[in-house]
Amino acid sequence: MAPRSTGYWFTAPALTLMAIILLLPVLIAAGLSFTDYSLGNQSANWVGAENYEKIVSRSTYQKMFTASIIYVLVVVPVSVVLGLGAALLINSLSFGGDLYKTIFFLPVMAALLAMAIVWEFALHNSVGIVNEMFQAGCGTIIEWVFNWGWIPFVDGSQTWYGRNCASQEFPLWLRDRNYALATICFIGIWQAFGFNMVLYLAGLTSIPRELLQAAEMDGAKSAWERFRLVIWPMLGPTTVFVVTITSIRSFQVFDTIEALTQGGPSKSTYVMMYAIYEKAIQQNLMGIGAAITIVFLGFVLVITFMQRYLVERRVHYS
Amino acid sequence: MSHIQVNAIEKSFADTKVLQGVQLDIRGGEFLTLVGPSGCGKSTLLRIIAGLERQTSGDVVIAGRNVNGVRASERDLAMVFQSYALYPHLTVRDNMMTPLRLRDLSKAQRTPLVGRYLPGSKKKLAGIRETVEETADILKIRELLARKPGQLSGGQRQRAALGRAMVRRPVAFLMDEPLSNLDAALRVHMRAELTDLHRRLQATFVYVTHDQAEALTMSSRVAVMMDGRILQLDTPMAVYADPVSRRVAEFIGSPKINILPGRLDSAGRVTVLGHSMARRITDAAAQSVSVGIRPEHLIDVPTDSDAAEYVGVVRRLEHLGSDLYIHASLSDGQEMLIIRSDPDAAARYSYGDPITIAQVKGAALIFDDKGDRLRTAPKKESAGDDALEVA
Amino acid sequence: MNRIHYLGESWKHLILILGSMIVILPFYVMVSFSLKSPGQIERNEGGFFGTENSMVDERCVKLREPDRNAIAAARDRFEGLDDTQIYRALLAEIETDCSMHPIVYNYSKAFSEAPLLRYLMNGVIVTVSIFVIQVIVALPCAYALAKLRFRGRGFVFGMVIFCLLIPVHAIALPLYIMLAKVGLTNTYAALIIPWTISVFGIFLMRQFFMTVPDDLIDAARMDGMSEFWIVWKVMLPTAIPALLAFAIFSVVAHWNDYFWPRIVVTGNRDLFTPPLGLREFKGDADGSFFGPMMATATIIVMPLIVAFLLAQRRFIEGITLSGMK
Repeated sequence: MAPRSTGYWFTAPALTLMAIILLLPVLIAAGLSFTDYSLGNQSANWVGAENYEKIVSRSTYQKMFTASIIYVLVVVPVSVVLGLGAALLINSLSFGGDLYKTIFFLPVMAALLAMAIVWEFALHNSVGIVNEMFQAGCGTIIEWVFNWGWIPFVDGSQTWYGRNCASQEFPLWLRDRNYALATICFIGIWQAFGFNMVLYLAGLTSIPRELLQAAEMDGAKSAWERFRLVIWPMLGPTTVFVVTITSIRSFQVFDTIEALTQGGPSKSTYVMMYAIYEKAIQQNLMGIGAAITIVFLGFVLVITFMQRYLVERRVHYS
Repeated sequence: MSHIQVNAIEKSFADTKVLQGVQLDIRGGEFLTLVGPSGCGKSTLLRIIAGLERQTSGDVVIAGRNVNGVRASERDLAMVFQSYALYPHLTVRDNMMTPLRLRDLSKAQRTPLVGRYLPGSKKKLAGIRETVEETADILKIRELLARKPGQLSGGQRQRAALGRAMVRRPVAFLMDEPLSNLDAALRVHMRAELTDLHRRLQATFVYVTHDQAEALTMSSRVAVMMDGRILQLDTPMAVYADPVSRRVAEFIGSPKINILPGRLDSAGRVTVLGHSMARRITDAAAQSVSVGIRPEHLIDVPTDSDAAEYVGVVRRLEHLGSDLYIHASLSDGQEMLIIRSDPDAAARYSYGDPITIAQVKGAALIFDDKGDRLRTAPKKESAGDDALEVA
Repeated sequence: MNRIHYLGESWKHLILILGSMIVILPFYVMVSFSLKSPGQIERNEGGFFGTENSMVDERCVKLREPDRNAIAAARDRFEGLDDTQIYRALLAEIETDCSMHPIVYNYSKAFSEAPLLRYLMNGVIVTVSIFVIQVIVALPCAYALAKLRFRGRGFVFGMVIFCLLIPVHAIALPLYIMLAKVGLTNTYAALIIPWTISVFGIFLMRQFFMTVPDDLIDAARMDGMSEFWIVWKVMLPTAIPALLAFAIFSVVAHWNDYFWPRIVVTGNRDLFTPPLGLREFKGDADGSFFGPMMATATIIVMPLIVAFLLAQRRFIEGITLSGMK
């Protein structure tokens, strides 16, 4: 047997670093959030809960929460559903599945910042390929398909595509307050769903084949019935994990915002990480930045505990 | 009565032919076992009958209906899987209700949340519940209904899987090595239970196993499969005592049958290690043959006995409590024989002792050089009766 | 039978192909722009590769525009021409000098306008240092947690589990303040230190070491190996597959990270990581620089994409590691 001290020697560096790099900052943030500290000042004043009051009351921060929460509430469900859908489709193919998998995974590998900048070009008003394609589609069958006019009771000229085609003007996307957050969400989904897809694919392959065959023998005839009876319940743990990690990541969105909108226009994309960066790093308002940090950590903890609860509540499968 | 016919089934995966023209008639209400070494194609055959796998050619006819193009879910068969394949997220009750729900409730009635409030749902669900509980009573798992598969022992899961198969009263039960995940004692116990269940349900069972003991103990008939063919289809007794080929003889029976090299002359006389056998082979050409003798047909006798046929040296004593198996090497040093003896014999022998062995007359099975059985001229007491005495 | 099967599948392919097109679109734009001249980008022509064989670098021309002295010096060469004509002739010469294939222009500008090589080097230095330190710290700790018995082991493991909850990005602000207080901002250390401890790495390696049989370690002890060497000579080699996956996980995360370098490196270009460099490029770029900028983006994104295409299975394994808990 190894001497007892070995255990301490081996864990000491990790333990020290954990304490200094992970735990101490949380305490520091908690402490600073009650002050008006800024770098360069020798001392700071205790301001009590003033920072938190500001976060709750000021409209800037209300916009911050709105933007963050909308972003999470859009990106998480959409990227999870798209990931699951892509995984199910790919899994059911007899050939070509690997190619789609590779393609959908590309955005996960690419530096988000670089791709954000490329998206900005693609969405650019004059040189952008997106508006160009939209414009090219006007007056063709593409317009007919996407103005949804063929659906009963839908007036094609009043839908989004119909109207934009009629006026020959497509949105400025990132510079339009009505579209900016949606565009940022779109880039977020574009980047995240391949990751979810891969996790779902792994989940799908771990479903025992005999279980699907049992469902078939039991009379589950349609794909939907097999999905409901076996696939969806068996993917439960994967779903809990995918939702958690996508939520935490979405709360941390920063690269796209900083590079493309800087929180604007009119704070419509002012998410929490960007707020921390702007307030604390750019404006040297450490107190308020620390307070946002603490609120942020609160969100992350709530999400994680929800995950743990869901995982534990489930009786262990076999 | 239900009746399953398998006609000239062939199946290949890529280049390998797994089944080569299998012909099988399963009678209504029988317990038919497909037995063979792993890789012989028995599971594939069962899955083709089930509809989980598609044959390369040939027909499957269930109760007079050709089901070649019919999906598994519409063949009205139930299957018990090796891993039981219970839905892990559902309770035993819900597991057992699933096949009935899918069969009896309409699509609308099965919609999540609202379905159960639709007209007719309640009554049907109550009926399903009742059926499930009756079945649970038969299997003695009523108190387990509220549990999930993860909370059950292997034997209990086995029963729950049986229950899920039973509730629907299918045309036939297909079982794919259902006992192989259980421990030895439970397996023996479940053998008896399955036999009882079969008698009680009077249903058709098609049972796949690699364990010849299961095949012999439970079945009405046994189909011995090797290399994608059925070598012999007969009652367990017949398969044991009257195998059609050397491979069947060697696969069925534990310990394994003794095989000795012999010589057949043109007169039909068989000579083994210098001894001539009592019976003659009817019309066969002179050739080398193999002679199979089951351990229970060999007797150790005093050295000076008239019956003495082989002399050997004791190499190993295998004491099983009720029986004693003596492994002896024959004087030429090449051949090993296993002799079944009574436990008292242990006192008489130890390692290295000489042993004299006699053979029950008429019990030997003769196979030609291709492994096919050579029939002996009929005698008053047939080989089969001898086997019955001791089997 | 088969034909019907493929027909049934074709709608799935249709959906997936449409999805693939949207996914690939920015990659297409990026690579395509990096191959085209500013004019063609502006006018949206030239397809994917661009059609021009050569273009004139306007800046280059402007820089070398002939002044009075140049014209005076060139009088000998252009006898009989007046000044305006000489000026035109000189300009024509300069334009041929300054003309080049758009690809060459874009990619050479990418390296000459900003110290892109330096950025790439920084990226390599930072990611490699982070990974190496993470392993040096995590491996002994994971080994101790998995295979050694000592008082407080439960506590240490509890700490690891708790720290898994804290995303480093979320506590960037206090970390920044701490680094500023000790004067470490704008150093390599600042880029590396917060990532030296990977609780996830510890957790992962511990799970892996739990599956290594005790007999292997006991055999090493019987051979007289010290615990220190057991970690590096026995456990490390057995852990290679897991470590490789973790390496991919770590390298991809830190090569692509933008948030932390943005906070901790201000102004000092010598420390820029690739994403910072690209962002800086975007900051000063005017319209004619789309090409070089997309070339820069391509150069930054490509190493990982190429590595991914070459070793897909390993990469997917590595990136989704966190999902396999």
